[in-house]
Amino acid sequence: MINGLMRQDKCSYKELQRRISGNKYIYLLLLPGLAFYFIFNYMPMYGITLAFKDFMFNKGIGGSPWVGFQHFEDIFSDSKFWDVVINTLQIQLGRLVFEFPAPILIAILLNELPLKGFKRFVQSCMYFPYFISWIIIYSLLLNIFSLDTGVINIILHNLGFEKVNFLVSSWFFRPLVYTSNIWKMAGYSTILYLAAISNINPELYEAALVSGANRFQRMIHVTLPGIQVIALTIFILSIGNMMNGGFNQIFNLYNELVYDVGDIIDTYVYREGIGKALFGRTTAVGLFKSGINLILLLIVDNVSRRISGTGIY
Amino acid sequence: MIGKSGMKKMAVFDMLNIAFFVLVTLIMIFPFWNVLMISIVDHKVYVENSLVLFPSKLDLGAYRFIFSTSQIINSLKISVFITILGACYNMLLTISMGYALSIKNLPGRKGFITFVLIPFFFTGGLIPMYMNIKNLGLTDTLAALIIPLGINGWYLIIVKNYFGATSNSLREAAKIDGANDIVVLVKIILPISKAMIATFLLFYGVERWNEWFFAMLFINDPDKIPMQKLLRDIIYNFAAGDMAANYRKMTGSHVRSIAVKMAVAVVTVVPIVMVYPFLQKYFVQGVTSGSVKG
Repeated sequence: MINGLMRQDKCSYKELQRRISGNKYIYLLLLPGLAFYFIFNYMPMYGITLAFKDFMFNKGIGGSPWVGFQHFEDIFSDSKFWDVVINTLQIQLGRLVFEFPAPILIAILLNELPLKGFKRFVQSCMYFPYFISWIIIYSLLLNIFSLDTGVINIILHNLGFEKVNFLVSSWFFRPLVYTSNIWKMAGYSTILYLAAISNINPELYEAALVSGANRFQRMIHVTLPGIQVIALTIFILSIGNMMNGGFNQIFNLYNELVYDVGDIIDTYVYREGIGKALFGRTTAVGLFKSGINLILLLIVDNVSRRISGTGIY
Repeated sequence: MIGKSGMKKMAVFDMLNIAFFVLVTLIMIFPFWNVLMISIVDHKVYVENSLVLFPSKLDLGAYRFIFSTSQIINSLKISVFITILGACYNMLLTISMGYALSIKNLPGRKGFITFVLIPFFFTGGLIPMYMNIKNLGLTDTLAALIIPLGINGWYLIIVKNYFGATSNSLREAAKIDGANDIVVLVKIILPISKAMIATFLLFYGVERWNEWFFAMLFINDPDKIPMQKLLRDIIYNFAAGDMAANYRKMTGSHVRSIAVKMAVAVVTVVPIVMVYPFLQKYFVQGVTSGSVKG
C-alpha cells in the first residue's frame, strides 16, 4: 500500500518532504559515514593538484606554484619509472598464471577428499595464514630461506649442494612472491570455489555416474563447469588489479638487491615520495596509476555485468 | 563400466589425494612450528642444527627478555588499544551507514551509494592521502591508526546487502508502532544480527591488529608504535635500537637475537590464533555472502 501511494505521488514535492522528514533519523545514521568518506576519501583528491605543482613545504599544497605537465614529462622520460611499471605488470601477470589456478585446483581436490574430519582439519590449516600480516610471514620466510640458518639451505648443504641466498636473489624473488602468496591466500580463496561446487546440482553427478563417467571425467565435465562463472569473475577482477602488484607483500619481502625485478609502482612511490619527499613527482606517478586503474576497472565492471549479471561492487 | 581396474585407480587417486593434502598441511604448519621452536630452544641446540623439530633443550630466555622490556609491553598495550577501540569505531560507522543505505525508499539513496562506490574506482593515491592525514594534524597520535581507517568499503557493501535482505519489513512494522529509526536499529534489528556483527567485529579486529602501514607513515614516537611495526623494526633491523645491547648485557655472551625475533613474532601471532576458532565459525559465511549481491 505504501508503495502504491509512493508511485502515485512520485513527483509531489510534499510527498518527498514527508519521506525526508520521516527518515530524519536515517540521515542522522548516515552522517558519520558520509563525513568519514568525505574527509578520508574525497579530501585527499584535492592533493592530486600536487601532480601539477612544484610543492614547497613553506607554501603548502594551495600556495605552491603550478608547473603544468612538467612532472608527467619528467616521469615519462625516466627509464626508472617505466621499469617499475613493467615490473608491476609482469608481477601481476605472473600472479594470474601461477596464483589464480591454485585455489581452483585445491578446491577440486578438496572436494574429492573422502575423510570429512581430515578435510576440515586441512581447511583450518589452509585458511589461517590469510589472517596474519606479511610482516609475520616474512619472519617465517626468514627461517625457511635465509642463507645461514634457513631450513632449505641446511637441507641443500646436507645434501652436498651449495647454499643459495634466496632472499636477496633477483632470480628467486618473483617465485618467492608467487609461492608465498599462494601459501597465504590460496586456501582462503578456495572458499568461493567450494561454495560454487556445493551449489552444483547432485543430479548432474548422478547422471554422469549413470552414463559411465569415471571420477576424473566427472571432475572435468561436472565440477569444473560448475565453478566456471566464479572463476571467470575472479579472473577479470585480478585484471582490474593490474596496476597494483600487491604493495603489502612486496614491500615486506623486497630489498635493494632485488629492486630490478621487485620494485613496483607503489613501492617506488613510497620510497621516492615519503622517503625523498618528491611529492609532486610521485603524486603524478600515483595519478597515472589511478587513471589506468580507473579505465581497467570500468572495463572489468562492464565485462562482469555481461558475464554474471552484476557489476564488481 | 567401472571395472576392477577403475576401482583400483580410484583408490590410488584417493591415496594420492590424501598424501597431497598431508603434504599441504605440513607446509602450512611447519613455518609456525619452526618459529615457535626457534623461540624456545636452547641456543647451543640451535647453533648445531637450526632445523629444530623438537626442543631437546628448552630455553625461555627470549620470552623472559621481551616481557622485561618496556618496549614490548608498551607496544602490546597500544595494539590492544587500537584493536579494540578501532574495531568498535569501525563497527559503529559501518553498521550505521550500512543500515541507512539499505533503506530502499530513502530519498537520495542512489546518490549516497554512488558517493561510496566512487572511491572503489578512483583514489587520490598514496601521497595525497599522506598529506591529507598530515594536514589534519594526526601525525604521531594514535588517532592516526584509528580514525582514517574507519570503513572497509567491501564490508560496508556486504552489511548494506545484509540489512537490505533481512530488515526492511521488520523496520516498517516497527515504524508503524511509532518507534524512531535509531531505536528500531538498536532494539530490534541489531539483536537479531548478532552473527553478522560478530563476523565483522572479528574481521575488523584482525585488520586493526595487523595494521603496520599507517604506523610506518605517521608514527615516529617510539612510545606509540604498535606490535606489527615493532616486529617489523626488530625483524629487519635488530642491531639498531637498544634491544640488542640490553639483551647482551642481560645474557652475557649469548646473543640470541634470532630467538628474540621469533619470540616477538610468536607474541604477535598468538592473538590471531586465539580468535581463529571464532573467526572460522563465521568467515565462510561472510566470504560467500559477499559474492551474493542484494
